[in-house]
Amino acid sequence: MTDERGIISVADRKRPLVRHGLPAIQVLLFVGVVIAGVGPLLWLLKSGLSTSQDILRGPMQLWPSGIQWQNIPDAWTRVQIGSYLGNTAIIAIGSLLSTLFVCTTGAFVLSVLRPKWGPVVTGAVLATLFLPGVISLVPLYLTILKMPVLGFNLQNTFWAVWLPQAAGAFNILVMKRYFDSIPRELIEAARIDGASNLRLFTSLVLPLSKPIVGVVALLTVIGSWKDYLWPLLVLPDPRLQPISVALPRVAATTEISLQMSALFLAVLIPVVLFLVFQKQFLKGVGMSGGIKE
Amino acid sequence: MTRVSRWGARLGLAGLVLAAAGCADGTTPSTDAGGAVDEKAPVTITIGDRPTPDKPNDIAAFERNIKEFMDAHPNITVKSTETKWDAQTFQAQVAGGSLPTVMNISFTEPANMIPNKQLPDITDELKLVDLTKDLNPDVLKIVQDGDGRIYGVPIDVFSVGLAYNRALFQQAGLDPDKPPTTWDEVRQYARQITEKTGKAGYAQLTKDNTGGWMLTTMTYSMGGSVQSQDGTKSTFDDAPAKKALQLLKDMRWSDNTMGSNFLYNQEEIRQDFAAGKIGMVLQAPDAYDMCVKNFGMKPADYGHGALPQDGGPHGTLTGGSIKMINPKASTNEIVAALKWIKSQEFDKYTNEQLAVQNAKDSIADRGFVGRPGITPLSQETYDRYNTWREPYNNVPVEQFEGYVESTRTLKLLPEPANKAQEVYALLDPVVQQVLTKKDADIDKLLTDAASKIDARLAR
Amino acid sequence: MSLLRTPQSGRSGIRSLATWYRSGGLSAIVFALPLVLTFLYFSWSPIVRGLVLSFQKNNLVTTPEWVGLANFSYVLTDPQLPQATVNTLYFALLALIFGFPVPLFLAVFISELRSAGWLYNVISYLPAVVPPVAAILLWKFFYDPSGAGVFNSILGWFGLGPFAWLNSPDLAMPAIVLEATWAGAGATSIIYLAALTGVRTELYEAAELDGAGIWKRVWHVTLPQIRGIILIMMLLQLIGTFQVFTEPFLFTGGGPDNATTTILLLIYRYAFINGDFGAATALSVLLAGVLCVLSVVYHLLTRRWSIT
Repeated sequence: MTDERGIISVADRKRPLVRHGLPAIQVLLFVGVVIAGVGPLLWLLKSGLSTSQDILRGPMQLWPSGIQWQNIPDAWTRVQIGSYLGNTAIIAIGSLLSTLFVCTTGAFVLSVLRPKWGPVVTGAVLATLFLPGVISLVPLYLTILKMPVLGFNLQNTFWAVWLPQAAGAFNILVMKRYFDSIPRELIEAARIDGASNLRLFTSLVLPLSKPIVGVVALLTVIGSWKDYLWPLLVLPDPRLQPISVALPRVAATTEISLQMSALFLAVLIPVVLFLVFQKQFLKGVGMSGGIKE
Repeated sequence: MTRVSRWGARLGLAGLVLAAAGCADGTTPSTDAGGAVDEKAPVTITIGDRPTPDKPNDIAAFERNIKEFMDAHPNITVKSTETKWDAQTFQAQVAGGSLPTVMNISFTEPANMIPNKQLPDITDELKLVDLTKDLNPDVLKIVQDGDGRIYGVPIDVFSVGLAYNRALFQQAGLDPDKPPTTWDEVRQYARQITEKTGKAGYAQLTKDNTGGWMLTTMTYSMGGSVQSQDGTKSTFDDAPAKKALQLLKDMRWSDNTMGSNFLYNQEEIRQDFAAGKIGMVLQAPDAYDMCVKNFGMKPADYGHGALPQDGGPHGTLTGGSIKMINPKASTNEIVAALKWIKSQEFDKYTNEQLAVQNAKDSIADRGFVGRPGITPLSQETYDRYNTWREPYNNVPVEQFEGYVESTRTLKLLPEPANKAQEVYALLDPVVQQVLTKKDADIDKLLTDAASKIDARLAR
Repeated sequence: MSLLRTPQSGRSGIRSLATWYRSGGLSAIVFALPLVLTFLYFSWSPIVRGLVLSFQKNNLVTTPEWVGLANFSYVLTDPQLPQATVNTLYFALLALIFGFPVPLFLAVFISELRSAGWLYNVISYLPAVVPPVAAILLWKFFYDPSGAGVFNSILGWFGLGPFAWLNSPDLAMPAIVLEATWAGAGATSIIYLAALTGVRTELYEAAELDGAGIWKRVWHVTLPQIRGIILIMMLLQLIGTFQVFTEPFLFTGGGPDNATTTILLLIYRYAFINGDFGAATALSVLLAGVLCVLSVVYHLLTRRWSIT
């Protein structure tokens, strides 16, 4: 436990101020973190099982009118939290697949195949990195309403969320930089063995890039998990909406107790998933910081 | 029949495909796109406003109506979408050309959509399906241009009144059958409610354009106006609007009878009203449906009075819904759409059997029968219709007496003619500031808002 | 055609075609198609179209009309713009004040707790797992301005309040930022934490021998070593806060009295409420210009740090 030291040394820990102060700070911080992290969830659990009147009159009391178990199945069937979470998952997975497809193939061309026109494409991609998404919000919306040349309308299809997500310069450049670091000798050796470009891509480059693919995947999923404005604009059909868009709409027309139990379910499922996969997840998030550098 | 008619059908279909393709490209439609009317030709229309899946009863009723209509009109195919009017995104939807053939829109839209050619001229088709004669000519003005051509079908009209909580009235020692009719009384009652019950005596809509909407209503009730007749200039920078804001300011800061929440949109205020946190609030009577059905308010607690007035009956703001038809629709589609509208919205008013059936269906679908309102038709037609349905009423009509009385006496004043939703949006912060900033300068607020709005109107 | 020309141009056409094919050639084009098509549709052409729209009067129904700089002058003289700009900057500033030290402190502290650190990590990351919109709706309820509201009841136990929170033009923005910090602190602190594992510990030894106390060690040894990632996170946060939309949109709709109207909210109103696509894109172009400068700075910095 002490083989690797931190800021505070063994000698520090013997000083009375540190010896008593540190645990005190630890306890305070722990209480603070628990209140901030777990408190709202517990409150939500309590309110999800209360009557509307209890929630409004005494939000900080336990169940004055008893526990309303019926709220949970009611929220599940009437508010359809399950199907909205399902849409969220479909949107996240679709965005993930389209992003990975576009950015691995694209980075493969730009980094490994290096055609003559490669730098032009790289430059054009790089240029969009400096232009924030906001500039194209309105025209992108118009593009979805009527795809140029093709002429069809992507509104109310999941493609409207999946495809624009894939046009992210950051992912492509990160991927390209990673591919750049693959030793050229490996690629040349595979070429000499007669590997086609497709084979080169699927059996050499992709397997070598697992870590970066994982991080890009994680960033994409987190991004689509948080997105609100875009799906709000392009998915007006309630049956396709992810939880983020559906909740405010549903909350507006349901009474408070049902609203709280719906919120509870919407929170419970991702929290459980997170707790199950927390190790892999936190490792990936930590790595994503290194990528941004 | 013969080969010829089958070819005709195919051509019709091809026309439809072309029309559908044309829908997407945002060009100005020609009014005679479909040529001569053929009432027998197969035609497909899409209707908006399908209920959402969380309302299974409403969906079942909706699907049943479509099926019955298609059985009665074998050449018309009806499809449906959940697209519905929303002040926040409607412009984008119009721009995208993704509107269904028929959908409901607000009274505030046609004034700007008609000159922009976003609505088709349906005057001739209306005559063909024999709909015009039922409509109240005053209401029809909303969807007419200067030459009297008609561009939409008004189906629903509301006017603003005062919703109040009868239980809170009783607790405060007020007579629940006597809602206030002047603003002085409102202020007095609000004081009494807050004093006796601790709840907000009166609350005000302020958010998502409703702040401007209700300020307009209050200004009307004080005898003022918001926009010049021709819609080129704002006119609210004068005594009535100032009086309205001053009243809010006094109730908020001197009396402290407006509770603590000053960011309310329509759903939020109804939720708090239904939960018994608000004594009085300006609403149209359809608030009853949501308060009782969605938010579990006891029907016995709901009361609805007239819009309070100041110094003589001035009038109340009206609005409502219009069935709009997609400007890209062909003549045959327009006719089919109007037949649909007639069967759904108008036949029941003239056919006793239908009216009764409709009431029974509503009850079976957990809806409401008999909730007072005003009508886009003539008053006699509407009264007769209500008599037919009276035995099925499941709404405590007597608790709406103050409101019903006022529909006969108060003048119905339309919403601002030009860019009403934008005007409302720019007035929201005015109301919000008066309610959240103690030293708000009402004169300056109105002058500033007027200059902002005039810039928008001129653009 | 230029695609076919290889460095060895001048040799026979068949030969150069073969080289072209070998060096990627046809399959390079096939591999590049997804990228080029998605960017063409969803990045490059929308950007160009945005620029075009900003010089037009266009409601997408009547024929567009070139209006020169009229959209820009309209947007720049709109009295709502100064307020939205100030609000956006204020949001960014508050987000920096609240949202910067908290996760950093958390990270430094957690890195000192070798055994129980993961527990802090998991708990402090929980808010980021809550669907952001669900969190906003929940906090909106917590911010109930009446005495019975959740926060007001808690503060009431200590004899404070009740506060108007979102209903007060002064408190609304800090209240929104507080929620955003709560939601984001866990994720940010984990990134800092990962950076802290790279800090060379032998330097602490040296500093301690030089007589530096704990705080001095944090200030002079720890922070300088993760200076790069700190700056990057700050810049990313800044770029993010300039485009903030969801929180003010759902919490207050920009109110009260426009106290939380941000630039993106204004763009949204122009486009989707007023149907004024010219004004909306003109303001987008202006905002993009500012952000562009920020991201160029970001890239210069990251390049410098990845070299050093």
